[in-house]
Amino acid sequence: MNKNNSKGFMLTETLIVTVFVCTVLVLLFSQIQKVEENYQRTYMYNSVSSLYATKNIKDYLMNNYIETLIKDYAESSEPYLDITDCGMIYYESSNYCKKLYDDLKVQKILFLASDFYEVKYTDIYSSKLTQGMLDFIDYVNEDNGDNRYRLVVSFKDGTFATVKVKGDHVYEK
Amino acid sequence: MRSNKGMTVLELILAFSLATIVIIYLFQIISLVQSLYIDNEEKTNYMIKQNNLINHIYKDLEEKDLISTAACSSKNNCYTMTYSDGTAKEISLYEENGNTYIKYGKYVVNYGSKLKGNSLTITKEEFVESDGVEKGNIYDAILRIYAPIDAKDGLYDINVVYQYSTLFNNVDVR
Repeated sequence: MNKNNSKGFMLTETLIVTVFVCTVLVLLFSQIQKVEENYQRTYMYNSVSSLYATKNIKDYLMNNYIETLIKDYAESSEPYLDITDCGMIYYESSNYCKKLYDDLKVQKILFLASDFYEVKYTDIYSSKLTQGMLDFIDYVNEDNGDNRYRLVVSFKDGTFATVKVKGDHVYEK
Repeated sequence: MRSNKGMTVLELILAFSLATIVIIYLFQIISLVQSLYIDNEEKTNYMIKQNNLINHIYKDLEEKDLISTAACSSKNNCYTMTYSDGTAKEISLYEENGNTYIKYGKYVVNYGSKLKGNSLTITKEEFVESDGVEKGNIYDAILRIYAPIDAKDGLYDINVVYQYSTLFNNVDVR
């Protein structure tokens, strides 16, 4: 014969079930947020339009200033060279440079080694780069090579793109 | 022997409220996933179309020299681009049946009714030695094909920038 239990649930039982259900829901929600973030990334990172824009910048730099850039990068103590400012020594033709960057809607241009070692392992809290830029650098695959560099560009519409740059000479940093 | 005592009111209230919260939450998640799927499918379609169009234009500009661009006589937001191999392609932005279209040569992109394009412009700027540009050594001219497309995120603009040297190629923009 069955003995009836007329006591109902204990408080602990109720609490355990509630906590369990809440945890499952929170985990589910965080997974969905990750999916959404990944979707966003596919649109914002290395789109065809931003890659062509970055290639335009690379063509301009390769034609003029690439060796100076590589040398300066090797001598610099910074993990990257910020070459957004057209008034810099690299850009003798600053009017042309300003027009080009304006038309391409450039926000920031970085020149750095393609292994990203120095940027990735620098204390991000002391970094002058935006979180968006750091996330993008983190997303890009490292590429080891003796004379390989990268241009990393962020655009005003929130997109990012990167292209490899190969130098003729190797300078020790 | 069956129990005829059932659940207490407190148990029922607790169980129902917990079930309601879970169901509401799950519905929210389902609708989020659904909108994510629909939005992204739409977004992907627009991006593919925009990418293909940009690719077509850049390929032509890289493979052959652009000789001239001239505004179409009968239409607004329309230019004829003539290349060194004798080919001429029309690029235009227009609306038909409430949909926005961009056409380059035979390639037509339908942006649908949600996205609107207001203008298509082709501009050229040449730089002289006082700007620090050495003639013939580097690019000294920039041609831009620009069609802003109204969208929340502004990702679908057509923005093609073509750098060239006037020593080797002088694009006539009319």
